[in-house]
Amino acid sequence: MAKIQALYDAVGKGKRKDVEQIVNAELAKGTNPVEMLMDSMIPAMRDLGDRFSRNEVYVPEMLIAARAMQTGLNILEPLIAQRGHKPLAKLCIGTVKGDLHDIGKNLVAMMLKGAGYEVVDLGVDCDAEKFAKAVEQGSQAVLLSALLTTTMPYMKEVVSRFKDRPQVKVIIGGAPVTQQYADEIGAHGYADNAGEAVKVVERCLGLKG
Amino acid sequence: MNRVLIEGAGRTVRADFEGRPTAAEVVFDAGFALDTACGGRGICGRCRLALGPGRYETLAGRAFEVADGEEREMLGCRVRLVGPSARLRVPDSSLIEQRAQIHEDYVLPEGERRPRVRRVAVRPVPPTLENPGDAYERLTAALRGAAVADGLSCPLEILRRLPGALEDGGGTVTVTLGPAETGDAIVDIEPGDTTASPLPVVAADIGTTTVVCVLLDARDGRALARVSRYNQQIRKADDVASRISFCDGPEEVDLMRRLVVEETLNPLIHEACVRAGLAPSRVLRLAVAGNTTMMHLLAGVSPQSIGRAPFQAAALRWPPLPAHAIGLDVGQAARLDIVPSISAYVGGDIVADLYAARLTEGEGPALLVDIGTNGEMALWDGGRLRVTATAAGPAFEGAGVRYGCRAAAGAIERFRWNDDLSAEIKVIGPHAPVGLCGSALIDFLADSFRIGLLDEVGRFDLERLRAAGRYVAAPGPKGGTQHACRIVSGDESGIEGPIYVTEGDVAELLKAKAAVYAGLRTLLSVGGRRPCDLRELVLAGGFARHLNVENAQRIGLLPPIPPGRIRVIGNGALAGAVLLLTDPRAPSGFEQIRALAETVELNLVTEFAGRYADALLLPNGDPGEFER
Repeated sequence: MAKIQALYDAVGKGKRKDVEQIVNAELAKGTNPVEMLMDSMIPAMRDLGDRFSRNEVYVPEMLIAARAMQTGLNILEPLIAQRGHKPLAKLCIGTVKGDLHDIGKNLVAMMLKGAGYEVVDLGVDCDAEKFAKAVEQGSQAVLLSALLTTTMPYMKEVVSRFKDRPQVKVIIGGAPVTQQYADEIGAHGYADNAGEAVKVVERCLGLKG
Repeated sequence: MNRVLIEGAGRTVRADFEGRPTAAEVVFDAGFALDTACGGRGICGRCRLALGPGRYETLAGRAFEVADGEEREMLGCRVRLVGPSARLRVPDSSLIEQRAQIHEDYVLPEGERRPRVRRVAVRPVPPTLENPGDAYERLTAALRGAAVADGLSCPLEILRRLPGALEDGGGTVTVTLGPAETGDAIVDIEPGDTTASPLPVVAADIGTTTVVCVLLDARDGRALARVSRYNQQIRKADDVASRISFCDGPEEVDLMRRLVVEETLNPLIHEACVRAGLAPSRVLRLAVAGNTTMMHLLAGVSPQSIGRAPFQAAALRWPPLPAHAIGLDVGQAARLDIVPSISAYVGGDIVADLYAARLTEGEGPALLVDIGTNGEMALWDGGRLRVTATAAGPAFEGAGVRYGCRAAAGAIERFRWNDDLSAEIKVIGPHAPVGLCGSALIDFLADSFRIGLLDEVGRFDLERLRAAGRYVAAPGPKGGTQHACRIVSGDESGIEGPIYVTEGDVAELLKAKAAVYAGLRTLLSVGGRRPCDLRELVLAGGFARHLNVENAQRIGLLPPIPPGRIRVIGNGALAGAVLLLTDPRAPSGFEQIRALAETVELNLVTEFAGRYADALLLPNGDPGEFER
């Protein structure tokens, strides 16, 4: 366990260039990429996510941090894969059919990557077929996003698509979505915000608590 | 009978009065557009008058006299005239919406003006026993004689009123003509010759957050009054997406219609008419511009299909709507024209902006940005016109920000820090400040960032705030506390308690500015251009008029191009609605723009998300974008 404070701070403050610099410098020194990720970068995002859930951090700061995280991940991911380090789980995420609003979805995807998951981002306007394909390719959970009540009903169709496969967890979120709606359509989980999404995924996949 | 001499607006009027009216009432009745925004309750402080020689009494009952050669200033609504004579002077600053001020809101292009409604007084040949004919035939013949084109349609309601009007007018009637679905129609008939009185028409910009109305005299296009208020739909949902979400049943759609018509437009039209001394029932023609969703909600049509791909609007071009059918409290026969939209997300407001700015008549490359809740923008490169819209939210219009407000009396409209962290503010009107409007919020961001009080992610330097005694631990909207910077103390503000800006407010503003900048930057990129290529940047929207452009560039809302290439047209949507009433070329001009426009869907352009994240920083996360 070796937290690199500078890296932790750079991710938390969203300093993309600093993250890049520190990661490269550490790699040159021979620092273990898995350690960098697990001990500095993931804790930084987790802390930010918790503060976001408590309304102490706002969307701009979260998005900027998530992007700095992504910059670091882009460098580290291939190296981590080489070492045979396994992600916590594989997930797929997308906005549902008819919905092109992806800012919230992008934020959730980044948070989950930042928490150590492999995230397949299916993009916007995804039909049930697209999610089903991702599941065939190994996704253990399906995350759905909708910004409008007009597109939200499609979530039900995706849920029913996986009705016969209870091991595939469907987790939903977005402005009009509520826990009540999730219960109504039989989704496995609902998250109110990006920080919360990480915890809901953990719970649904039985990874923690 | 008592007599008063009133001087103001370049004229002197002699008026008689009875009893003990307030000075404001007398001035108003004499035809001066005295500003009594608070309804004469002594609150708004706008109806200040200079009292000349005469006898007066305060509302509290204290009598006083002003001697010859002297003047005394008082609020007109707080003082009574007690006779027998008095002299009043109305300062320009106490008159509402003088013509110059009204036009400050928007700029109309040069061009022919021919109102789409007009009035003719005719005196049909009287009937005789030998040749009684019929009244309608005689009216038609008289209109032909007055060079009115044939083929007029005449609604039943007009026919019913025709005989009475002829009789009451001693054989003379005034006919109001306006375009209908099939050519011109008679839209009103009045006894006698009324052509010397104003012919009121209403133009409105129906924004997601703010609605602005202008009452015009169609005879010469002169603005009689201008009024604005928040679109009351914000009580239910504050941006386009959440309004579409709200409308998940016919009752909700109808509630939205009532909020914009009965709680927003009707009071505005009423207020404008009162100011101009006209009855709302005399308004026979209206024209509006707004985004596609707002037009659906105005017409009471569900916007649900706009809310999911492939984004199908119920209508982009609307026929003239019967004003009464949507609940507008104006003349029975009144019709409402709507500036046509381009697509479900790119509305008539930008069509109006583009037409008013004459953007496509230039060579380009030129970019037009309408800074509103739904930030619509267009890039013209001399051959192609690309348009898009970005969800900026209502923060720049003062909504969704704790102490944000509209640019109205009491609003802080300019803000600047001094070296000792004392704040220099400019407030609209002679008022204690009640909040910050969009232009001041931008000033605040820019100047706080300039002096390092705010960092690039929108966090305050808390130690400095505390040292300057400006730190506030504000209660958060969902519990907890938010760090905040005090702008005005509770003692100096016009509200209960201090005025402050929280970090949560800053985040809202950053999201708004990021949406606008990322949108325009992506649109430029799709068109193969960079900001420095622009020959012209046109800023539209009521808010643009008050914006400090340099500060807008400093926070990364607008690209850093030389000020000489920036043109501010103000509320182009309102200008377009005015032109729809007065410019015979407007309908075809709108259609040309619609035919040229190619819609760009920002969410399908890969680089948009990255640009948005970059633009969340002050001034921008991409160091190449805002070199200073």
